[in-house]
Amino acid sequence: MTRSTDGAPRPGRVRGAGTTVVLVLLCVVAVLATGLGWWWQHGAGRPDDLPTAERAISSVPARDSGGRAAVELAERVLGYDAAGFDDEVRATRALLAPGFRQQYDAQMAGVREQTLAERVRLAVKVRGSAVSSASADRVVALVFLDQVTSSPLTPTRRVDQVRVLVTVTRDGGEWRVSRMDAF
Amino acid sequence: MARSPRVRWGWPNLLLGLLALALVAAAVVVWTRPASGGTGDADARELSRRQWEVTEAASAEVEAVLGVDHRRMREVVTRVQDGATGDFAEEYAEGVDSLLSATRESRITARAVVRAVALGPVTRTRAEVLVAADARVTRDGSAGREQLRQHRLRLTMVERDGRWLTEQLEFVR
Repeated sequence: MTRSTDGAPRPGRVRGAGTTVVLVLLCVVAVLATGLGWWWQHGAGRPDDLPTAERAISSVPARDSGGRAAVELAERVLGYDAAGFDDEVRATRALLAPGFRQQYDAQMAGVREQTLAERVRLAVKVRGSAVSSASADRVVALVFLDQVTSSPLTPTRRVDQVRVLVTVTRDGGEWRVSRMDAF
Repeated sequence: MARSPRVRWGWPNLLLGLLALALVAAAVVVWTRPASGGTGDADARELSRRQWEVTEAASAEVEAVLGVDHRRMREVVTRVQDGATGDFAEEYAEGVDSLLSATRESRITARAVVRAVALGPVTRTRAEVLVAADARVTRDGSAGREQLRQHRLRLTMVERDGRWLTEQLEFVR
């Protein structure tokens, strides 16, 4: 601190030094706030430490597009027809995330013989859908659908009321099914 | 007495002021911008909160509606009516007497568990909700044998004085 010749601080200089201290403190606080904000946005603050209320939906556009995709894909994946069965399965595989293809293949292999023998058609009718959670690249939708199984060899149709959680993940701009849990 | 060197505070303070201004601006940007870099993050957080509130209310209502205890049906009815409004409240009130007599005669107990809840179209005061719930039903004298009933429900929830209430409830069959 500068002082006047008689030892007393000069008011103007004291103000200048005081302002410097305040500005330095402001800079420190701003740096800390910026760092904390960065950590919150990109680090440990997200997503696990946040309560469910804060993280169910982190992208509204993904909620909309992923929710629509989940419904369309569920119809494609869960329905099949003996007519053109193999081509349909091949086409549907392209709509799946790689990690889900093995499970789909196993399911289709399990129904193929009977489907072709009895000329089964399994049609899917979506009765309702809504989104459970959504991030930019992953959406989980709850889909209510009816699976209507028919065959020219039997006079009756079977209707299964299904509840399924459909998980779609974005892969190169396209939504693909990465998981399906009927329960 | 030796004189201290004179310090000119003007320029350093001006520079420090500009630096502080820039840092404060950076902090504001970091705290207010969406994590994903999009423009919808504040909307997403708001939607998440609403979804959580609606989910809690819808789950409680569905568990109340599907839950049955023939020994304490008045409590069940009160719980359902507490979360109901509009059309659903009226429909439920009309059916209460027959519900009470039916459960008394059948001596049924049902324990309801919500398995999944998801939010459809939603505004600040209205939301459509899908709920998947199971009810495990037992009858007195059935030696504890349970019957599982799987339900699909569609609810319309409305916000009234800070609470989400069920205005419509439909079984999706």
